[in-house]
Amino acid sequence: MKIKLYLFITILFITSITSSVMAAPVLELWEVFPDDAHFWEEAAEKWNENYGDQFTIELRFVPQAELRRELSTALMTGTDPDLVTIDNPHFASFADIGAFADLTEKVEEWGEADQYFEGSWNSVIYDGKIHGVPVDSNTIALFYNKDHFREAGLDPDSPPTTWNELREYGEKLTVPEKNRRGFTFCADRSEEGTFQFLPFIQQGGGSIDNINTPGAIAALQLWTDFVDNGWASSEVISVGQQESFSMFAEENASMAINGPWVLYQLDDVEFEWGLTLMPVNDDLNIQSSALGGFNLGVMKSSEYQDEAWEFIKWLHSEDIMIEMYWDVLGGSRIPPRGDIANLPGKWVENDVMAVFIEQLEFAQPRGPHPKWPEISSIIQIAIHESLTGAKTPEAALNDAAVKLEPYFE
Amino acid sequence: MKFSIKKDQNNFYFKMLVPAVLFFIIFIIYPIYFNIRLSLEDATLRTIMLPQRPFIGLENYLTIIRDPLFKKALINSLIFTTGSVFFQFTIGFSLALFLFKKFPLNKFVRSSIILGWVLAPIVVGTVWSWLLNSDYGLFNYLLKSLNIITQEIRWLTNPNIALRGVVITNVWFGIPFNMLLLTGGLSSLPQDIYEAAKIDGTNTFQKFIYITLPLMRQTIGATLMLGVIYTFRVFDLIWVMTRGGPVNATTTLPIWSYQLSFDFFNLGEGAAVANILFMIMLVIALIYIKFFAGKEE
Repeated sequence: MKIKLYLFITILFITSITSSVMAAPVLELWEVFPDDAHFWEEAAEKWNENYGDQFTIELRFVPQAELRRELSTALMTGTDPDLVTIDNPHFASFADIGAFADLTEKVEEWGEADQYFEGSWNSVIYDGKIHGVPVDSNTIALFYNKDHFREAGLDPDSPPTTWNELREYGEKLTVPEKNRRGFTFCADRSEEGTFQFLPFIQQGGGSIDNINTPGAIAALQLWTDFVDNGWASSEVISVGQQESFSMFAEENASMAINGPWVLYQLDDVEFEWGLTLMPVNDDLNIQSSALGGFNLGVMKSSEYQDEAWEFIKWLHSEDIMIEMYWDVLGGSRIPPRGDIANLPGKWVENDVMAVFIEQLEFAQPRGPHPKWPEISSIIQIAIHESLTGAKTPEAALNDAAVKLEPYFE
Repeated sequence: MKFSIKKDQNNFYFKMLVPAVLFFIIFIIYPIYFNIRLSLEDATLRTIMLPQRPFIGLENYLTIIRDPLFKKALINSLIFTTGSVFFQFTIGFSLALFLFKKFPLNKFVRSSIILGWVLAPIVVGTVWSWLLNSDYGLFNYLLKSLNIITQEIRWLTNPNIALRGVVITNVWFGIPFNMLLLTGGLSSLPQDIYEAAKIDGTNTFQKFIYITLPLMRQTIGATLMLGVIYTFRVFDLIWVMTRGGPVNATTTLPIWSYQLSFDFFNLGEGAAVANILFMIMLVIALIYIKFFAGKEE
């Protein structure tokens, strides 16, 4: 009895070894998209079904907040995957240490690079080399509640277009008895806070290496006024974008700045809402928004760089991209290629997506800078100092400018 | 598989020690050594993949100490720890004394209190950040309905109050642990002394001061000591509630160390903060050993 068992185990063992030797290579891909999107599951399944004999894609979901820690540990121990998705402002720090394969030649041969949104594409270039491709492009715009506009005697078809109008509307829409505030945004002590505030700095004529321009100070003053006057909740400094937006979805705020990733929160709401471009500074009139999205990089340590590139080319071919972004994701995310995003009958026909695509033209990438997290943290501290009254907007941004100086020498 | 225990007794005992010693070396000594080495190296994302990172001596420690945030984080850590431990201990001790008395539903009350301790810090942090929310939080609602306050307290979003907000949460979280240890201590006290005291006509207060406290010395020392160590290194609770903000109002040493290591990837500096934390704990542990442990007459 026992001998039979041993024999059985041995045979099983041998067959499993041989089958693993014979099988096609397995490429590991780390993805951070929230699992409700099903994007990568579908993509990997589709590839494995059709081209699994060449190589297969194996997925591992890594929570976005853990990704950089996981990836750096993996690099240290040589257990990094073949492909990885990473938030675009953090792409540069890993490109900087040479973690990604140089895809410049392959991309040039392919010849599709100029179809991508410019800002998104710039975020995969570091030191003049192409290290990956953007996998989605997104940005933020202004949501507003049309029913609340009507109640406050405002025209639901003319949302605020400038900061002064935003301020004026914010005040009019605030109804303390109904527990309702005019506006909500995200000033969290995380990348999300920087993501939402940076466009205002840029609209004020500032930038990360010139953060204390009068316009930028006015931008921080604007945010601070909203909190000080109770037109926005003081909790905006401690909630992420999703939670900040739930105040809008639950009708505790009448206007909100956010991106397409929160649209699902509006699936079952009973009010009428609209979406419009980010308001601009009255005097400067500079359009700007934040560029979000993820990049897909091929790791330098991967044995299967050519295979990884094949997979990327397939995923970003017109047919597959339309299928993945339009059919699988239901058009809720904007594809990184402008030619596909602007195809007739798709995203541009959808009122909401059309606004995001228009806004995307003014979206500016964060960085690229290998020390982006530190820069971002200095900006977050300045926002907090001003919004909590610890410093005036001017003092907060002047101090931030001093702290930021060494990063741009 | 035969061996004589008598013959190989000493040998056998040493063999039995091997797993424990190995465990100690691999999981305790090596990480401490690795962290100390890391703190003396120029360890950033840029040097992480090199086989040999450049040795820079005490440079990381100097950078840390020169940073104005060091003083802030150290003071925050001290306030957080003393505040938490003081209230956890006094409330925990009161509850232990109360629940030591026999009354109906005693077991039910005791297990309900302990339930809080079973929760993960992430859960406690999330729930309490809702409770302390200035817009819809239960705390402000109660205080307002009782006419204690007229204006909302921004528990977690006012830099002058936020540290109190996280201390309140941590006190709630730590009470069951203190209560449990002290109840254990109370139940091991010899009852005949209390009977003798009763005959001598002592009142409850005297019994507590002259009998319970001195006899509980060991347990109290251990409870406070463990409380300090557990509280000093609290990370997840604060991270979930405030991420060290607003501004840097709740940035303690563990929060700062995490931010340096895994947000900025200045791993050397993060390790230096962690080692300073380790040194502080070591001093506390030595004080405890000298004054409390192993001194039973």
